[in-house]
Amino acid sequence: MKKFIHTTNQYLLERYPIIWNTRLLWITLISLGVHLIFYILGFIYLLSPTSLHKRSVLNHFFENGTIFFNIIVSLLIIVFWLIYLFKNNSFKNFYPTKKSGLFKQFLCYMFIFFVSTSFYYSYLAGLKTYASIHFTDDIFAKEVTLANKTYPFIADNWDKYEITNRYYPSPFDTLYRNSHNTYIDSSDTYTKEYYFETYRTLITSKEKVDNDFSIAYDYKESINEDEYRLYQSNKRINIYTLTDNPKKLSLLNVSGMLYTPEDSTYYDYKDIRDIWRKVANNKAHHKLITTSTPQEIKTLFSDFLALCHKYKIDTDLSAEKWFQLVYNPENEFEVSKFIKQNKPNEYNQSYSYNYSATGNKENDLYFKKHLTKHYLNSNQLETTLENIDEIKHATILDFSIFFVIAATFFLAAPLFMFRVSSTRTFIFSVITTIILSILVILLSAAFAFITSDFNGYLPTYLTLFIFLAAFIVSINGIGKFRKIVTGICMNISIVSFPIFIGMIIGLVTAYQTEACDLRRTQHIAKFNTYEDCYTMFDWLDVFWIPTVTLLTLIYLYFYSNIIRKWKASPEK
Amino acid sequence: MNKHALRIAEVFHFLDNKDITLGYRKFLDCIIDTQHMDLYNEAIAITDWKEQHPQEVEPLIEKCKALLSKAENIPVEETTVTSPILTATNLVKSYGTHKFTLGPVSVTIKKGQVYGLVGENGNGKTTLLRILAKEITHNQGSLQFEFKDKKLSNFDLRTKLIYIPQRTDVWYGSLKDNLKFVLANYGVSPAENETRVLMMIARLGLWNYKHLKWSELSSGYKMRFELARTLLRQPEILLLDEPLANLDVLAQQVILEDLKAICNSVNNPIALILSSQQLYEVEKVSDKVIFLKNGKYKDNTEEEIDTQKLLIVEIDTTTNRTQLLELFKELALKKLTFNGGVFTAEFEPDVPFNKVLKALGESQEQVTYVRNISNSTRRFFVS
Repeated sequence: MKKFIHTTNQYLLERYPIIWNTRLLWITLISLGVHLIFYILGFIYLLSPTSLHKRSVLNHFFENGTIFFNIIVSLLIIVFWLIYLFKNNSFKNFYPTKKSGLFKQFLCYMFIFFVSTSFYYSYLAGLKTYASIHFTDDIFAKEVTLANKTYPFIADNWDKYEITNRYYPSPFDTLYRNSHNTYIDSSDTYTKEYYFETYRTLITSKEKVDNDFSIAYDYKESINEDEYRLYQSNKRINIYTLTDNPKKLSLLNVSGMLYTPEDSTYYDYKDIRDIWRKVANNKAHHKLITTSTPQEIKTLFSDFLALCHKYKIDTDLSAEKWFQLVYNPENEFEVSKFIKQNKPNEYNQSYSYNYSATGNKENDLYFKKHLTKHYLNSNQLETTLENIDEIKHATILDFSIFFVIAATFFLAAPLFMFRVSSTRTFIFSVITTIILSILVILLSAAFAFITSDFNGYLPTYLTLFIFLAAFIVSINGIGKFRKIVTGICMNISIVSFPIFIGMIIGLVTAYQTEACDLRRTQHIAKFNTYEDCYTMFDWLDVFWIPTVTLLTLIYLYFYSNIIRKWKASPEK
Repeated sequence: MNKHALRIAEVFHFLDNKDITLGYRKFLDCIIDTQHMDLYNEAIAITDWKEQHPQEVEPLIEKCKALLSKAENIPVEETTVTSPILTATNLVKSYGTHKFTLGPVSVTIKKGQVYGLVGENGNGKTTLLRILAKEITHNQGSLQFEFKDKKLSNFDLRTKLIYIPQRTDVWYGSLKDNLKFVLANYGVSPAENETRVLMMIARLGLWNYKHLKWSELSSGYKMRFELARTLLRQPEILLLDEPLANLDVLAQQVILEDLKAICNSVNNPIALILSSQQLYEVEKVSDKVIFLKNGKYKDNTEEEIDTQKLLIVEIDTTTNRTQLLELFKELALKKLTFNGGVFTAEFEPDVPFNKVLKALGESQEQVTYVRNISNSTRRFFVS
């Protein structure tokens, strides 16, 4: 091994001095080893199904201490690397260094910072690998279906059994709750729980709908290139008048699902935009409850409890016991027994229940009275399914990678500054930057105090002016000013370019927004129509970060010549 | 007979006389001049053998002669030096509000020449070297370089102007890797890198020290490794600030001889300017010695009206002033000064030095050291 390392080092030293000096190969290999460890950590994290009981599994990395492990390991690798990196500095010794050579060094720094800090992505890959093996699309779809089919029987609250949740059969499938507060008279009684709207539809041209604000509708559906189908409220109906025993809590009223996959839109109940799905749900539940034999129901419960067992969901139910509790066909499937959501612990045997937000005390009392000692933590299962879905849909290299790459620039830039200038110049650069920042803040605050107006333009322009001044001095001031001065300007120019570009994009966007707002106001006043405005930021979207990063790298390539020029300049 | 052949003949002569101390170094210089990697490798193998068999002189001489015979047949292109590589004209550097002013100094040096820069501390030696190395600016005058490569950016120029300050940086990691790193940066092919490094290590007598750490080296060997690193860059001009500091007298002589020999390379001559306090040693190897006092320039080739004709002799003796005056009463002694250690006697210009020696030799007094410093910059230190 030692011989292999020596031979490889000699090979790199003789052929690729930059790679040898930056220890790119070894740090990459070490980091890849750590990436493998994080990959395994991600993989084994899901070995225990209880890991999935907590929401946002992708964020557990940042919550359960793994991030600290990441930080410590990254710091150790970086410190170890820096010790070796600082052993040689060809640029400082005036060995021949082309501008491309300096740029390559910078890229090496960026790459090493990236590879030694981005362990989260390997952890995520570990999670995804485990999920792809154990939670295949087929299995997951079946489990979600099973959970959703069983959902009506999980009697851990009374809300879902109310008549207001009913969507099937007709006329329940036409009822929705008007969510357009603008058009609701809040003093009107129809805002009460049991009042709903029926809808009517109207086909109208898109141009008219988009430009005429007086057309009221609750939902618009595009039916072709030119037309919308508008859903408008028609008639108010008291849902309690539609059935003989409206206050009865029944399995047949359930229109929700335990888990709705994240690619489906989820709205509050009785939202016009969601009505068709709710109708389908209610119909499916209705059919299952009314047509299944008791044995089929028990089999469903057994399968569901097996699923609970698989994911270590807290429950003390057996299929038989559960069946006895909730299956009540004789009385229109009325729910007369409830189960607890959480497993009572030894310290707290009393059960706390979050009473309904609607404040129906009658139902609360009914629930409390009919609550059994049994429990089933459906939240755990819902969260588990949600987490699995989240992992399955997660993209390992998503847009966050741009943030990480941009962050590595800000790690690599100071190191690069330190390597190409000198300790003294670097320290003075840091001090100067701090002083200038304070100065900008104080001037802006003073200006805001005097004019009683703060809009952010002054600090931005001041900062831009400082960057520009530093850039000009670093280019034209070599030989005219003291070397330390031009060195500080050079360092500021190296690190500040992406901020400079970011600020310009921000300023352009701000001006575009202002101009657009003005134009829009005038437009609305004149034509009573709305005009869409696109700013530079809208145009770049999430790609503004890679755009700035790319521009910065191009800039740095050319700026490397200035760095060489500065290095060669004599001191006064 | 060309220069290369003459040098090889000189080495044969050294070897015939079994003078392998200097002879072996000159032998390596001849091999280095060939720029032939096969011969380099053979010389490296001989060096390795030599270090393992330090007592076996005859076989070593045979091996050296065999390799020299091969080297004889390798054509070595001689570099002809016509124009100076550095021309500094009336350089002036002032610090602060004219607390110290260096110059005006004018220096012209060609490749293959060695200039010594002497003077007491604080008289501007380092400042002058740093100006010549373009580390600091000068206020007046002009500074021009004439390298092989005519189109040089400022940074490229600095890569050619090799200046070693008195206090050099610590080396980290393997010494050999540090040397190889130099060549890799200079674009030397991988096939030649190791060979050239080992050859330089052999040439500077570092063979048995190449595996040590920097902290394990003495000051002298640190300076030798620094020189090795510098010479591997194949400089055209070399500016050394006090390279002899912290070295014993023998090491000083060896380093100076090595520098002189390497700078006089047949195909890669180097212009060398070195500053030092070791006046005698520096004068021995220098083509010109520049003396700086209070920033003002004098050199040992300048004619000076007041000292032109005088014979100035430095004497270290236990004899007292009265006895010396008595000894030299026939020799038109103009002035006798004692600085606490040695006497300096100034005679009329027509007094021959051998008469002074004769007077001292005929006396019964004990004399440790006598030196004619009439043409040495040493006289500037004592006057």
